[in-house]
Amino acid sequence: MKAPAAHLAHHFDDIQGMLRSGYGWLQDSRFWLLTIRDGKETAARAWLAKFVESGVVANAEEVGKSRTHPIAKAAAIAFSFSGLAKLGCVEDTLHPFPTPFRSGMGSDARALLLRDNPRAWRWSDVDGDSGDAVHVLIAEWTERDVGPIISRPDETIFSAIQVDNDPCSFQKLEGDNEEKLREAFGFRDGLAQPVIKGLKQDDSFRPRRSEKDKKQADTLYDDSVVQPGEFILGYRNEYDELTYCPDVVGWRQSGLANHHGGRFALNGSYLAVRQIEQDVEAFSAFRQANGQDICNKLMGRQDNGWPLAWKYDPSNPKTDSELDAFRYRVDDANGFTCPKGAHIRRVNPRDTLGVDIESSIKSTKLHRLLRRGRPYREDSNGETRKGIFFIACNADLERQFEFVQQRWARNPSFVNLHADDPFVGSSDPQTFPKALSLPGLPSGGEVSLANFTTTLGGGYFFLPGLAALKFIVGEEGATKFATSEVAEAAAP
Amino acid sequence: MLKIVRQQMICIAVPGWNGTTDLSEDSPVSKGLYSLFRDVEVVQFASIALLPARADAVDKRPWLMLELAIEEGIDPYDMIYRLVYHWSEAMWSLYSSFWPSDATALRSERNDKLHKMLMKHLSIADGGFIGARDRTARQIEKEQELLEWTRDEARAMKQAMLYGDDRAAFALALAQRAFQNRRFGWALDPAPRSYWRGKGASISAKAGYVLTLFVLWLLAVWLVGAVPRGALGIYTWLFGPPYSGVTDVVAFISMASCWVLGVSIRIVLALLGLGVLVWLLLIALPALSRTWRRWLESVGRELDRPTETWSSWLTYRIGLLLSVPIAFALVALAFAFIFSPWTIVDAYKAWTANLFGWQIIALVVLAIVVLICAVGLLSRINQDLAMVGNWFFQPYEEDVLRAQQVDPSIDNSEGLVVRETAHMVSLTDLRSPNGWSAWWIRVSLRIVTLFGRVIFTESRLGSAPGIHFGHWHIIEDGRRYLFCSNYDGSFGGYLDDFINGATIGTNLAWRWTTLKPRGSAAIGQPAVVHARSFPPTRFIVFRGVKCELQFKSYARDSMLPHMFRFDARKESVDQINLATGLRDALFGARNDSNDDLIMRAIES
Amino acid sequence: MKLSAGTPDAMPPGLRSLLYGIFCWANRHPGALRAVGAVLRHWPFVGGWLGMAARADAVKKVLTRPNSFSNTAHAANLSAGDYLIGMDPDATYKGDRLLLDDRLAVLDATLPAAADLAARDYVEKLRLIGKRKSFDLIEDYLMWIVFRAMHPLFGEATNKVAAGATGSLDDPGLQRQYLLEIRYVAGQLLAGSSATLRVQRRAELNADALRSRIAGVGNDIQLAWGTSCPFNVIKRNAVGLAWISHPVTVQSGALAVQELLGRPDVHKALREQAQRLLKMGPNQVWEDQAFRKLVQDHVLELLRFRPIFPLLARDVPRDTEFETGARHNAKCPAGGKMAIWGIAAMFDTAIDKDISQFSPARNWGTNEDLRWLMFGYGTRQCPAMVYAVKILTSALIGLLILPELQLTRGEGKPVTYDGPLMSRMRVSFI
Repeated sequence: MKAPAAHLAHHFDDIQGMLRSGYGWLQDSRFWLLTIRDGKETAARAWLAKFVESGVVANAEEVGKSRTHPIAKAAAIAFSFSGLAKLGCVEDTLHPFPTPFRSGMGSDARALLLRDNPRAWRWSDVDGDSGDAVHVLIAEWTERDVGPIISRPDETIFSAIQVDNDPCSFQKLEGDNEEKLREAFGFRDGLAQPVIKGLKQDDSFRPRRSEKDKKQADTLYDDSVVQPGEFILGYRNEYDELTYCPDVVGWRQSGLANHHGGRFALNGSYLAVRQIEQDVEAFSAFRQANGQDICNKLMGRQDNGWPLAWKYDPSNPKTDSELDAFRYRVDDANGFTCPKGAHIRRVNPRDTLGVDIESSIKSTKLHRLLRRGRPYREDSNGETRKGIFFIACNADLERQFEFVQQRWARNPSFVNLHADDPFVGSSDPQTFPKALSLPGLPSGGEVSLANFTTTLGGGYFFLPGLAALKFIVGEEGATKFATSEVAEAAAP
Repeated sequence: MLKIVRQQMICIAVPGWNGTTDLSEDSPVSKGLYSLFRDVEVVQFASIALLPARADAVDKRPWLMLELAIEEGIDPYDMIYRLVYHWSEAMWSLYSSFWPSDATALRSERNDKLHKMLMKHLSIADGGFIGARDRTARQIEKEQELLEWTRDEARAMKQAMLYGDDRAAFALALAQRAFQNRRFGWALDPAPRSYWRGKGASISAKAGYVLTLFVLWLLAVWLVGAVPRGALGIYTWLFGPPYSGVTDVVAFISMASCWVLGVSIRIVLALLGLGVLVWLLLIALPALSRTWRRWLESVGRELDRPTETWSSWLTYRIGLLLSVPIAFALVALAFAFIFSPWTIVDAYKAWTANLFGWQIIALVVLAIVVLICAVGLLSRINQDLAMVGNWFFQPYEEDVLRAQQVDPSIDNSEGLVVRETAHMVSLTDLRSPNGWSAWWIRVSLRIVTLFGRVIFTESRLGSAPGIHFGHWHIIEDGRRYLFCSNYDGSFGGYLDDFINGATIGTNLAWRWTTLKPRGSAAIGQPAVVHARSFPPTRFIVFRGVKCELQFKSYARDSMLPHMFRFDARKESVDQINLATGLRDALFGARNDSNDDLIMRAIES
Repeated sequence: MKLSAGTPDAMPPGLRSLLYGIFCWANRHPGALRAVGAVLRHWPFVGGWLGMAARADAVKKVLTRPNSFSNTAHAANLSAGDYLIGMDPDATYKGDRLLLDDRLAVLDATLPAAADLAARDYVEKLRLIGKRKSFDLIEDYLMWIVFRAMHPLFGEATNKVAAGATGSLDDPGLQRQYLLEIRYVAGQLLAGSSATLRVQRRAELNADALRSRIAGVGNDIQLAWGTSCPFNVIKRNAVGLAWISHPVTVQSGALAVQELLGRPDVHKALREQAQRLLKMGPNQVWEDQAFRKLVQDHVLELLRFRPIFPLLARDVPRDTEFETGARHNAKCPAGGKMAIWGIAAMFDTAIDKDISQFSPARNWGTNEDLRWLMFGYGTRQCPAMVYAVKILTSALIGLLILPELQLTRGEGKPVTYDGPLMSRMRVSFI
């Protein structure tokens, strides 16, 4: 019998809060990459359970009230495939996890597919050259100077990597009415986020509007509105289909499901995580040599976040949503303003790739990422290293994160160019010259680039719904195994 | 006209592979094949894969499949002849295990035997599409050299700061330098293109071609009747009437010719009428009326909807109830018009015999009003349904089992070519062997091929970009269905392009197939443990591939990894087109558009 | 310049097959071409409008003006690359021509003895076939005789050329494959640019194979030729020599026999002569010079009725005129093409009133040169024509001493064509 799909509005309390908000008002952040030591699974479960019970893992409903009752701290927990296995979750044979997640970002196959050669990673989600697999990712956000939620995970249970945020990443510059997030090279970050339909705005009932009321800005706003199923498992996606939900053994019996017939992964999401170190010195030298305008061309936006085509006007501040209201196809088809190879045009080509605007926007929406990363800073041996702890939420790793990485960002022949992304391109010097073409200068321009970033590690994590989280960390550890055995025995 | 495309894409599937030949990348066989294809120069793509035997086959050994994509106009017989008789004997080394004891035989005997066997198992594509590889590999290579040279030259000129701000002067200087470079003497000729991509590319040329054929046909039919009639007339005038038998025969021929003429003309008129109707309903009215457009869009959306909802269920059922009788009526009307137009006139006369003129006009007006009201009502319902509540559009989950699973061998072969043209081999079963399925697929594939050859000549199939070669084969006497493709991009992205850009073609090509369980062809190769079916379609062309999850799982499960792969050129479709454009711009007339093309080519 | 290989078809679908069909039909029916030729001869101004020379005088004059009517018209059909036949008379041409004449001169010493020897061998083989059993006159007879008679062209390297660099020398299958390969390359010269894509591509494929074959045995050829020419010159000429010499001779032989079988009286008279000589001794038929002359005259006359190149094309590099034979000269605009109706010229009544009659013994008098028109004319005439005719004479003598031949019946069409080319001719002894 076919089951009716879940209504997103009824499940806000089961969806982790980070899918609804980037916690812009919580300016301190910290990421923990935990590897559970062998034999300490039960202890780890208990530790995690305690953490969950403390109520810091915010849900979307709480976050939704943030306008009126902002929460003061929030955390999120996600698990790599090996982490789920370590904690006793056995994937269901009928609804297994998708291959990319199961094989892990750290696997050799993914290294090829993500064009990650060479890799010299400090950590990843699979056991290998970069050490033992990271099992659990905990992200926490707090108000400034309040101090961390987790002081230190128990060393006997976990081996942990701590990634601290860069305290200088929120800055208020001239013309800003509030502090805004800036990454280490000085550009505004966190713009052009997709708007999840039904999560950010309440559109279950939409008043009928006449044609005249529809303004241009509205249409452009619709460009960024994406179906929830692109980020949250179990809901309608851009194909008008319900996103595939994997299941684990014992979930159904546990009775934890909020939605009748809902599987384990309902209300969850996948996180593609990469720790990307930024070479600030190299970029400063580049800026010195070429000027800020060329740097802006590399990024595709002005450092204050305004589109390149717009003239910055501090007296007329614009919201992030307004700063996102532009397209390329008509005004800038050849990249004379924003080069075709610029970072933001590569990773979100908007209306350029298809045969017309409508189909281009439609197909671009199949490859959107919800970014929840934060700049980080690392002080070691008297040396300060900065970078971004990149987190992209998506519901189909292959169609979203991997596609963007493989076909757009790191594809040297993307839209007939012959170099990859100026910022997140491959660090392999042999693949292609690091350069960016700047069309439209009197006789065409080209700048050669240094290698501005290096990926230090990465992994795929599953961000479960809160009920599923309870199941993972729950006391049923033993029961889970028991049920799996029962299930196996029952299977023909 | 289609065969010229179809025979460019060949599969040779030989059963009974015993798997003793080493096909790994560094094996002598692979290296030999690689240099063979390089040397022969007309092979654009080649790959080898093992096709697992059908579950119900007697011989459980896999099939060795050699896929070739070759240049236009070469007969497969000649191609295989050239490959087999090549001095390197690379083909023999691949296939020698089929004759384990024959190593000592005369080379010519072995070659003959091998050629015969390959011809026996040869399958030219039942349908196929060629993107930018209508050019020869040699042309692509030369044009790519020109592109790279131009970019380097431009870089040097920019550094020397010779031409300042003047784009036209810069382009002119580049063109001059290219012109003076003796390496590019070949580029003086405009890039060769086949008729439909060159002279016949315009709509008027295409329409003119069809019109010419039709007029020639009418002329021929007319001559068949007119020549005997004229001859008889002259004979009668000169010598008096001949035998009555002769007169009768001539009269019959003359009558038959007239009848065929009439029917031909009426068929065209009927087709034109239907065309106008379709244009009116699908293009003209939507452009004029927002209501109609929205209504049409929502019908399309509901028919395409991958999840089951009440809205979609109802639309489909009501659509069936309405459209089937209307379609039948239209076809019947068309047939009546074609074969016996007078019945329509008579029926009209009989019906209007008792009506006055004003009554007829009133009836017509009434009909139009009813139609408008009906459309208005439907559109109103359509809009209000959104308000009725979520239940109407509430999706019911299509439980797709084991979705988003990729066999490691497939992931690996995809990863290995991530910097090159991607490649896929998919093997499925026909829903009913030897029956309707094969027939329908063939017809559909011919349509796809025709469109690809004549209409979609800009390297996009529908609006799906990046396809180098895509070809379908019905093999094993209509039991199985093979699809091989070379394309730019990732597999998932490729299927997304199909889902969004070529829905109809993809549905037509796949909807008569299914996936039956089968073993794996070799250790480390995928098996199909659980049967899958192609997502159900509506009205043949709706839905189907729109069920992304089900379609992608289906395609993924049907895939087989390649064991050997050769690609004559690694450029993407866009790059190939760019280089050809640059060639024509550099060596063509000096005008603004060519200057701009040159500048954009070096700027990208 | 040779057109790039693999150029797609720029003609609308159907048109090419139609044109090629007409072209092939005309080639297979020289009678029809002669009829059209007669019209063009009678009203030469028509040919003038169309750029066609048909009268013997006009044809001769056109062919003796290589600067105005250039051989480069052939270049597009030389799928194996540049060769004498498609060159302007420049330095390369002259060098190549010297090299080639040297090679051909070797045949002076060996012909007709070598051809006779080969013919006698194959006659003995065919004799064993017996009556009413069919065989292929091309593949079982002519092809091999010509191959052996032309052996000296590549000297010691011949077997290596035929077997390929890595093939075994005693593999007759490989030799046959080589002979087919060069046939397809030569076929393109006959088929011309109107040929269907398949024919052109096949020629290109085989041309590639031939080039690669010659490159593989280049050293052997250099050794056999004993020349110090640069390697690429040797390659170019070896490739050209390979594909033109053998296939054209074989094809001419087949055409001659086809014509002969269509003239039972002539055939019978000639056979009677041969049988008479045969009775005088086994070698008499080969040694009697008068008979040999008679047979050679027959070969030429048969080829006049079925020339292998009934029409020739020339490029017009600059504006010029030509004398059609009408009152006014015809204009030839630069960049155009010129069609030369050799077949019409050879039947010009200006040569002889009874020229339309089959008469091998005709005294051509001052027009003796026109008798060889099927091999071209003037400076660009085929340099090997004498040898070809000698070989064919030997082959024909061989056929005459065998039991009487007829085209096979009851096995479908005895003569099959491959475009304008005859690919098979099934015959049997009566």
